[in-house]
Amino acid sequence: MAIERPVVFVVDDDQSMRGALQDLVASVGLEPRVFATPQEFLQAGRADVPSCLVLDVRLPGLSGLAFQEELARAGVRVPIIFITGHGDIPMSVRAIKAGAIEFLSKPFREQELLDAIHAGIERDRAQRRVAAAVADLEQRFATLTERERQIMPLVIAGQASKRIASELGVAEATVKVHRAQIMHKMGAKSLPELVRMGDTLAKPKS
Amino acid sequence: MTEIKAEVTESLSRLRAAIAGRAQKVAAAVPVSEALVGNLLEAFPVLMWATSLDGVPWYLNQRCSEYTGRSMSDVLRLGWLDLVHPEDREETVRSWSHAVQNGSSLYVEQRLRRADGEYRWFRTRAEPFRDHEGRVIHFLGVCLDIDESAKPEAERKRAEYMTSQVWESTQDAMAVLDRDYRFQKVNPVYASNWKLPAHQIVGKRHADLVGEEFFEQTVKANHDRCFAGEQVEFSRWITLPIGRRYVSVTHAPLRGDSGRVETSLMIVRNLTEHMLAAEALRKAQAALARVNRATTLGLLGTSIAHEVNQPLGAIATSAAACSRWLSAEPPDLDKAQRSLERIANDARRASTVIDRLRALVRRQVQRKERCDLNAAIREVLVLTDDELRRNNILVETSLDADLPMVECDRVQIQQIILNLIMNAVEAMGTVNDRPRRLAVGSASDAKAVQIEVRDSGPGIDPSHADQLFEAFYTTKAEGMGMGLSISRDIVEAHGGRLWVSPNVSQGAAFHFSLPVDA
Repeated sequence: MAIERPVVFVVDDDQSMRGALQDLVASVGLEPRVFATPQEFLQAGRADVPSCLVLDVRLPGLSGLAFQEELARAGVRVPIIFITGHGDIPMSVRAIKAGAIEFLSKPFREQELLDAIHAGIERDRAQRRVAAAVADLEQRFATLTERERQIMPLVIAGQASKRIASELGVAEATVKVHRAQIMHKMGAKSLPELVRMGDTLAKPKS
Repeated sequence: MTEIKAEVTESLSRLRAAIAGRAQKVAAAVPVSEALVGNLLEAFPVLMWATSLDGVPWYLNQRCSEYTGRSMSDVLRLGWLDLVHPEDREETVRSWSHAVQNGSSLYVEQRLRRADGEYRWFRTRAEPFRDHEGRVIHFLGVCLDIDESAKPEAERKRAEYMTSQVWESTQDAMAVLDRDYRFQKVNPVYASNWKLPAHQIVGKRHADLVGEEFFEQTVKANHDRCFAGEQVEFSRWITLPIGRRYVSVTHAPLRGDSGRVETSLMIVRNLTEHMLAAEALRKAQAALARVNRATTLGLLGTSIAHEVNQPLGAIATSAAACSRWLSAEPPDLDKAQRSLERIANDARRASTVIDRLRALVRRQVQRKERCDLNAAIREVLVLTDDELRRNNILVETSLDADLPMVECDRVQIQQIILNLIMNAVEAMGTVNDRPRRLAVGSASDAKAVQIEVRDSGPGIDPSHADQLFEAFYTTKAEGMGMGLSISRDIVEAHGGRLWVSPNVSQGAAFHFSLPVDA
């Protein structure tokens, strides 16, 4: 995997603020991408790299909080750091509850913002890692035969091969063969590992 | 009922028999007939009647029916109490009940309605009539017309009653003082003002209440003028042991039979609250114009804070970036240089905002200069930018690029634009079912430039359009109704005019024009 340079998106309609944020992000070795409006941000393509979004709460035509909801609905899971000229507590509580990393009032100390940006990128990196692992598991699960998919939950539930055999009306030896195939195809080295994989697969995708 | 009537009829015939019998005994030679009794009952100018104990008459003489216009059967159907003057009914009922309960004589003076509707005073007497066991069974009564003699007495009583009503129920404090400045009489308001029962005030000297010093310096002279025959009236603030009051006082001389002023009537009206309200109103009026401007700016407070905060925030952020470029290995001087340029620009931007603001706050004598109204509009829009966003208002500007320069007081014209925009923002506060749009435009012809501010609010009720420009007219809960009236004054002082029209699609449009060659 190539060394990915994390991207920091900035949506702020104030030109001065936008310029300064762009400069600050670049000065710590991150890649700034700045936009004046949420629409511009949505229209721009996003590289598949860890990123976060620095968002002004008040935007022309659409509030930052509404935009946060819109992104969530669209399945864009980029961590958001809000900045505001005059934040109030209810607004910040609402933003944080909806998953924002931080809610900063201008003028803020740049270190606070940078810390939040790094935290955002870390969260995104972790999200991406989990998402990649899940995608990998799903791929492996897809290689199982129908019979194997039928047996895997029973194995995970801790049932002995003999019991599974009688339940399905097949020979115990056959079950053991399927079992070995499942472990092999899923890449599980032990039963506990397979159980964990089962849990991950069963989790509803958020 | 039938039983009673039978009894009554029997009683009547006994009565007649008794009269007839006695008459026969006294003067056997005179033939006494029922006709004579009947004539006797009608002979005198009195109303005669007989009733049972429940007040239901079983006999009325002819004069009764003639006077009241009610026959016996009418009275049985309608009763008779409504024939008594309303003011005398209570007394009549009370007297009647008393007589019935005690089996005693009835005596009452009352006004009775004549058939033509006029009331006349009657003196009514009735005597109980007993059966052979001494039980009262009927009343026999006469009503004597005393109207000629009773009127003056009744009027006097009524006047006395009215006077006592006024004395008791007025909101003014009243007191009667004698020539020794002692209270003879005080009304309930006077007593309650001093938080003393009336009987404790009566007999006291006025000085005992208000204090010797105040009495000697202020009160006594007024009393003396009054006792010399003058009606004294004045209004002023006074400080009494019961507090500071604004009072309107009248001392009216009351003369005895000799014509000498024996006592004086003092009426004290407490106007403290009126005065406080009036003073507050005066102060408010004096401050209004100034307050109005401050209010508009106050509304913009958050907006202005934001306008200044933006460049300051950018400066702080750029400074942080700059310091990082400088401390990098190796230092990136080009980038640091650019950060510094941005800092300088933003600092200028912040100071421009503050300068503009200062110009708006400062009250200046009208100072005309040639101005570019488009630039003036843009500056106001910058100041209101935050307010407009916070209210989710989309701004459309259509400025005439060839707008001629206009001779005007730039700050005053900006105040008007500011006022119109803030009004529009407020008007659209309740709009949630359609876009909130503010359109600001300029246009010109050979003679004048015209500025308009349109909103998509609820619009102006045409019946209120004229009042809009009156001072103190407002439709806003917190408004003072000065903005538009001042704005119109300013425009007219520039030789222009300010008016309102409905917006084409929805809402209101305010326009003002200024002559090009002013």
